[in-house]
Formats: sequence, C-alpha cells, structure tokens
Amino acid sequence: MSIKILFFPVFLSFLFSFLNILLWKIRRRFRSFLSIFGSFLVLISCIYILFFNLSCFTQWEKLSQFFAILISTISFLCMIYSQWYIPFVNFIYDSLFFLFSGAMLGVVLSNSLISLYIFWELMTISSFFFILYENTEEAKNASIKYIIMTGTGSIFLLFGILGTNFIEKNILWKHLFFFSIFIGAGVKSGIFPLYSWLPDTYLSVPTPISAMFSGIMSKTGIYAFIKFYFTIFYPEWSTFWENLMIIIGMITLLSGVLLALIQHDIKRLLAYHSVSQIGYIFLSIATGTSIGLLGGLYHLLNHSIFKSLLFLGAGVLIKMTHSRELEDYGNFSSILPFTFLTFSIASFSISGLPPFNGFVSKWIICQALLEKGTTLSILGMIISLLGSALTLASFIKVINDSFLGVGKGQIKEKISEKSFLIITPLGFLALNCLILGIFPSLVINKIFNPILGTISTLNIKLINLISFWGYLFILIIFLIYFYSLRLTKKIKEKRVFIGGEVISRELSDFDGSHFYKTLYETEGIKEFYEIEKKGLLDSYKISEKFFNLSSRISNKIEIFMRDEIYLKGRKFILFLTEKFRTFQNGLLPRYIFWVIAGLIFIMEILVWRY
Amino acid sequence: MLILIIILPFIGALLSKLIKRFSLHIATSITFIIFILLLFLPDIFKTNFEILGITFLWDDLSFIFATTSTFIGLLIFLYSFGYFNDEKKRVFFSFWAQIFLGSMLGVVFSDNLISIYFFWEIAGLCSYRLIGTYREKEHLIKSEKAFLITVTGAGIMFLAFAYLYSITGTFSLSEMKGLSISPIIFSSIFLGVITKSATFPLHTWLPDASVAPTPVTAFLHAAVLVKIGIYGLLRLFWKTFYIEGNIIWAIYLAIFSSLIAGFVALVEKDFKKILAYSTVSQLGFLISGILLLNDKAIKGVLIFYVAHALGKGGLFLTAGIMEKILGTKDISKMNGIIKKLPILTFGYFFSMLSVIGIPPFLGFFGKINIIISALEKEYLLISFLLIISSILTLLYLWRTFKFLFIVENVNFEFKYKRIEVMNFSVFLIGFFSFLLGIIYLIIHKGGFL
Repeated sequence: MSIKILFFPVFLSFLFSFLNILLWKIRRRFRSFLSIFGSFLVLISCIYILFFNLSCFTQWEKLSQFFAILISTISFLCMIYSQWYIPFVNFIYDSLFFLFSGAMLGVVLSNSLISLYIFWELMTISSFFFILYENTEEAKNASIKYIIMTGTGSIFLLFGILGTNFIEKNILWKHLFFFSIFIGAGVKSGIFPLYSWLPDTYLSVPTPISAMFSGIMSKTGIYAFIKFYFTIFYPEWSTFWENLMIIIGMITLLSGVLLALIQHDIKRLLAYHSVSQIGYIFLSIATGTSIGLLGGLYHLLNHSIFKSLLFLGAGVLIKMTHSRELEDYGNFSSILPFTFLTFSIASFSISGLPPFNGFVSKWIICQALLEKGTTLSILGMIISLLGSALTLASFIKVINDSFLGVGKGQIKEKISEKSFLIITPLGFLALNCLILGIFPSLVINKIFNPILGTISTLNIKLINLISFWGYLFILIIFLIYFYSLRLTKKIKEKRVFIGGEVISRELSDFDGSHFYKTLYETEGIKEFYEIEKKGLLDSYKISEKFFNLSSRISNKIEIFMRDEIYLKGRKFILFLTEKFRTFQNGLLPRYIFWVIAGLIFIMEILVWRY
Repeated sequence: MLILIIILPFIGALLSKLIKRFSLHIATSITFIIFILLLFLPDIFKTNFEILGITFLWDDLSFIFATTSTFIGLLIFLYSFGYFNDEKKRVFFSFWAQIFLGSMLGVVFSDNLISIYFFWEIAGLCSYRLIGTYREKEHLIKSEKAFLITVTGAGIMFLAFAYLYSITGTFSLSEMKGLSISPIIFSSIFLGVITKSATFPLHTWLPDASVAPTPVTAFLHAAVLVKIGIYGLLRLFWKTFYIEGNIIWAIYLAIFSSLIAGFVALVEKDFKKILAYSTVSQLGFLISGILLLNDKAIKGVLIFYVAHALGKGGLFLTAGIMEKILGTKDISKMNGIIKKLPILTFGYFFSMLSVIGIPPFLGFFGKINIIISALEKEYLLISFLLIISSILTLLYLWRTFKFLFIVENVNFEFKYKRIEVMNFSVFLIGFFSFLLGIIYLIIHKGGFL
C-alpha cells in the first residue's frame, strides 16, 4: 500500500499531461485554469502522502517525500508563472510541463533503482523539447549539446545502477561503478568538468522552465547521488573519492562564481551561479558526515527556492525588454517595485547574508567542513567563504544594473505586476527565503531531523542568535528598500563640461559590468579566464575531439578493409583463375594428358596405400 | 499447415510475376495472410512436418523470428506502394522480396542442416538480385561483393555441417541435440554467420549495399538477411550444440566490430551508410549477447532483436522518404522537417529511441538484460564496452536527428508529394516500438530483470 500511494502524484501528473492533449481545442483561459488546478492537485497529493501513516516510511522514503514536495511546489509556482509569461501557451507546452514534472516526481519517489532510471530518461527526453520550444539557432545547438551530454550521463548512471548488485565482488568494480554513478548524477546536476551543457541550455529554454531546470532538475542529480552514496557506497569507503569530491566541489564552486562575475547576459549569469551553488551542496555532502548531509540538504532546499525566484524575477525583466543583456536594463525599481523587492531578497539569500536562508545553510556547511578537520576541508571552507563574497559582488552588479541606476533600455512590452499570476510565485518564494532564514531550528527539527534520523550535533543556538539580530537587519533592509524606491523615482541629470569635448556613454554612465572588466586583467584570475576561453575546461569539446580522433582512426581501418583487403583479394583470385585457365585451352590432347596424369596419380596413391 | 506458410511466399512471387498490375497488392496480402496464420494458428497445426526426409518444426524461437520478419515485411510492402511508381520495378521488387521472405521463413522453420543451408543460399541469391535493382555498373559490383562474401562464408559453414554429419550420421538438429563440438567447428560456423550478419572483418558489403532502393535495404537490415545469421547462432549454439572450450575471442570480435562501426557512423555523411554502420554496430551487440550463452542474455537478445528489427526498419524507411523528397542522401544537406512532417518525426523519434535503448521503449529491455548477464558472468570489460557501444549509438543517431529534423533550411521544397502511405508505415513502426515496450513493462510489473 505504501508503495502504491507514493506513485499517486506521478500518475496524477501524467493524467493531466494526457488530459491536456485530449482537450487540445479548449480556450486559453480554461486551459490555464486546468493546468494550474492540475499542478495544485499534484502538490496536494504530495502533501497528502506526508500525512499518510508517516511511521511506516523509512528514512529514505522521507527523503523522497521531502524532494517530492519541493518539486511539486516549485512546479506549481512555475506553472502559475508560465500562464503569465508564455504569450501563447498551447497544449504542447502544458502537456510537456506535466510530463516533465511527473517524471521528476517519479525519479524521487521510485522505490526501485530501475524505475528511477526509467523516469530519469523520461525527464531527459521531455526536457529536451523545452529547449526546442523557442526555436532559435542557439537553442537548436544547445538542445543537441544537452541531449548528448545528459544522455551519455544517464547511460553511465544505468551502468552504475546495474552494477550495484556486483560491487562486493572486486574493489576495482566498486571504483568503476562509483565512477559511473558519479558521472551520471554529476552531469545532471552540473559539477565541474561536466557542466558545459548547462549555461547554454538554461538560457535557451523559456524562463519558467529555466527556473525548473535550475531549481529542481539539477536537484534530482543530487538526490540520486545522495541515495547511492549513503546507502550503497557507505561514505567512508574510500578516502580517495572523498578527497576528490571535495576538490571537485571546490573547483565547481569557484569556477562557477568566477565565470558568473564576467557575464552580461542575465540568464547565463544565473546559470553560472547555479553551478557555483551546486558546488556548495557537493562540498557539503562530500564530507559524508550527518551534519554535512544536513548542510547539503538545507542548502539544496534554499537554492531551489532562491534560484527559482531569481529566474522568475529575471523573466519579468526579459518579458518587459525582450532582451537578456544587463546593459539594456536600468532603473526598473520604480516600474517594478515588487520584483525589485523579491529579487533583492533572493540576491541577498544567494550571497549568504543573514537573516536570509542562504546564510543558515552556508553556516552549517562551514561548520561541517570545520568538523571534518582535514586540510582539504578547511581549504574548502575558506573557498566557500570567498565564493560567498564573490557571489555578493556579482549580484550587486545585477541589482545595480537592472533596478537601480539610469534607465537605458527600451521597454518593449508594458506589463503590470499586479497580476495574481506573478505575485503568488514571487511572493511565496520570497517569504520562504525569510522563513527558512529566521526559524532555522524549527526547520531543522521538523524537516531534516526525521530524514537524517539522528538529532544532529549542530550548534543551533548560535544560528538562532544571529537570526535574531537578523530581525533587526530586516528592518534596515526594508528601510533601504523604501529609501531606494524614493531615490530612484527621480534622477538628477547634470551635464558635465570637460572642455567642450563630447564624452562617450561609457564614461558618463558607469555600468555595473564595468566594475568587473578589471577582473580580466588581474593576475591569477586572468589565466583562468584564458583557459576557459580556449575551451580547455569544456568537457564537451574535449570529448568531441577524442571522438573525432577515434572516428578518424576507425574510418581508416574501415577504408583499408573495404578497398585494400577486399579488392586486392578479388584481384588475386582473378589472377589465379586466369592462370588455371591455361590448363584448359579447349584442345583435346591437353585434356587427354590431364586424364592420364590423373589416373597415374590415383594409381600411385593406391599402390602406396596397399 | 506449416508447409503452407513456407510455400505461400513462393506462390505469391509467381502470382506477382503473372498478374503484373497487382503485384504489390498480391505481395502485401500474401504477407498479411502469413502474418495472420502465424499469430492465430490453432495449436494442432503447429506440429512438425516432414517432406522428402526433411523436417520442419515449430517452436518459440522460430515463431518469434518468423512473426517479426513477416510483420516488418508487411510494413515494407505497404511502404513500397508509395516508393515504387514504376510497374516494372514493382513486379521485380515484389517477386524477389517475397522469395527473400520465403527463404527466411524456410530457414527459421527447418530442423535440418541441409534445408537451412539451402534456404540460406537462396536468401543470398535474392540479396544479389535485389541490391543490384538499378543495374548500374557500380551497383552490380557491390551486389556481387555481397553475394561473394556471404556465399564464401556459407561454404565454410557447410564444411562444418559436413563434418558434423560425418560424426553423427544425421543432418537433423533435433537428433543432434546436446552434441558437444570443438572450438574449430564453432569457428567455421561462426565465420559463416558473421559474413551474413556483417561483423567486423567481413562486414564491408553491408554499407556498400546501401545503393539499393530503400525498401530493399530495409529488408536487408531489418527483416531478413542479417537476421538470418542471428537466428543461425541462436538455433545452433543455444538450442542445439554445446561448445567445449573458450569462445571469448568471438565475443571480443563482436564487440570490436560494434565499436568500430559506431565510430565510423559518427563521421559518415551518407544517411543510409550511417544506418548501415549502425546495423553493424547493433549486430555486434546482439552477437556478443548470444555468445554469453546465458538464458537471461538470450532473452535480452530476443527482445532487442525485435526492437532492432522494428526500429531499424523505421529509420531506413525514413531515409527512403528523405531521399525521395529531397533528392539527396547527404545528411548535411537535409533540412529540419519537424514542422512539416510531424507524424514522420514521431515515427523516427520513437524508432530511434528504441534502437538507442531508452526506456520505456522496447530496445531498453533487451540491452539491459544483455548487459546485466555480462555482469553476472563477471565480464566487466565486456559490459563496459557494451555500454560504450550504446553511448555511440546515442551519439550518431542524435546526430542524424539533428540534421534531419532540427537544423532548418529556408530553401526547401518537396520534390515528391505522395508520401502519406510511407509516413503511415513509419509511424506504425514507431508506435509499435513504444507499445511493445509498455506491454513488456506492464507484463513484468517492474520485476523485469
């Protein structure tokens, strides 16, 4: 019974997906209602599981429920937002949406590994079509890159899943299967060398789907990894992998945020931040301790909330200006005060400022790394602090460029924030950013301790203390907010006189992105950007080279087999037959000669035998 | 009744020659009748049948192979209504294709090495005629190549049959059951099989055969010719003989063939050649699965055989449509037709996913069973190489999908309009790949390993 009830939300999602196809002719208003109602129903059914005979579920089923509620909530909010964002929502979009979210629910709710894999592939295939949805040239290239990388990853995952029964046979096998699972889960979540599909994909899909991709689809990779790492491969099994994972987490974190700093495309920027935050989660989980897992899960929850919020907020800007470039934005805080508020809350959360939720989880992560106590983990802690600072720097740029400053861009489409379709998702997510930041002890006791099974040895008091001061901080934030609103309503423009010369726009308007141009010239960081530009970190390009080389070699062998071996052999046989023809020239004496020679030969043999 | 199933295609071939106007109609209806007979024949007729000392028998293995081939053949005949407009070509195709199908049915139902060899060679002869349909000089050289290589292999295989006769004194397979054979005999039969089933050193005739018209190549790749080899391996080494000694070299040969063909398919530009190399790659997969000689692996092979027959049929038929409407076989010159032909896209997409092995399509369940039984036999390297082979499949098939359906070219017009029938048969194939996968999933209720 418990197993069947788990699949109910998945079934419901697929039902609504099918229903959307069946009712392909109905009016848009009604379809919007149907879709929102459907995703709400899925959410309700996920919550219903929570109250359904809780005691019979194991720890891992509780983890599944946690993920299921997260996924269905974010999908519900994104579905509401899509009805506002996509101008011509048709049945294909809604149907795919339900298929996609149902597949993700299936991944986290599956009780067997094979059904996890089946839903995993369904998730990959259904998300593929979202990339093609906007039908631009870059989207087409991104879609192929996406499907090739994640498809390869999921085949690796399949290999790992099949191998789980055989890991005890040989230590080499165990390493190989762990490697496969690591790649399979890593590609989906976007860790260091495997994230090259991620920025292109996130910016090619419609914005609500970007929020889904970043907010929850990358989390299914983490889910699969946690499930394998903590059940089948117990965390202490190999210090090599542990250290490697901490190193990979650090590199992911740092490279993501460094690349994000120099972006001027808002979606690409958010995508690189997504990579960096995944680095935090990985770093925390890699410690293998219970507090590390707590930190990872807490940050995962926070990340899916604030990253979805950031994407949805960016979607408002994109819809308004029809552009993703930061340079086309500016001074939107007076037009979009609500978006400004929620976007800033999300930005402060992702940068880890108290009292927002990012602070709490980063605190726990740092504590986990400190408790681990190895040199690497201490280094990891330092890097994570550095990453936080760089994240803040990056988001100050975004806020400055888009909401504050001088209005440079043209507003292509008049939109109003008053719609329920936009206030609900943004407001709800922003509220959660605050709640998860202010009541960390409540969240840990109610949500995470049942999942982890143990009461963690975390010093919650200190977090509570800081969060208390956070109340005060909030007041200050709101004051700043209203102050800046008042500030941005009127901009004083003054002409600058420098000897009659005409000054360029670059000199007069100091864009936020100009701050970070110096980064290109900084020693140490410069080399990193150069390497990135050459594509040496791009695993897609590197493996493309490898495959090209192998293909060329194989092609050579193939051509050799086809032209040399077969044709030469054919020629040789023709040559032989030509020679044999001289024995039979049609003259009677020659045949008589052969007959007699043959007879003598046979006689010889007979005589020799007897 | 069994003899009727084997003889019907030959009668149909004669009728097609006589009534030229309805040759394809006759071929389609005869194939349909055979298909219905195979599916709904009452059990009492499924008895062994003996004629001139040669026994024909009915068992599960022959049933699976016969039904699949007939079904694919039926769809290909349906398709060729749209493909061949010329009456002469129709007569030619329906005559030889029916004999082709008949020889396949003969191979799968015979219980006798002599009759297996006999029908095996008839199939080779048909392939010779069919590949050279257009009778250009280059085509003839290629069809001659196909004929020569397969016949040479079959000759070596026949030597092994003769040796078996000299040991046992019989050609009947059911009497030879459980006979243990030496690796040398195995190798010579294996050599015969890999010429037919196009495995590495002897596979070059198969990509060259892509000069033939598309229904013919679909017949070669999906329904009949290369699958005869698979059937022969299964019948001889799984059902009948017991191999003494180590045959792991053969598994490695098959996997090597699978990998090398996969890599070549990544750089090839001719669409039909890509699909041909894909067939070589999948055949390597299947042969290595068979040689694991494990019940689970054989189950996987049978499932993947059906999936590959369906999927590869769909892919080839799509290739034919593209060739007709665009007038080129070069994939880099093809256009994104995802919007203009959505039904075709569906068919191609489903067939493709099935061949790659993505759940819940049928191919997945075959591949997974083969890989897991390799793991159970503790062949780690083999299972890993099989995984690499499926990754290669993913890469080159998505590459074709990209060029065919996604990349869009503005200057685009149909050169050929009558494609409804062809589209429909591709769609049917894709649909069945999906449906059979779902049915398999439902039957096994998750415990399908």
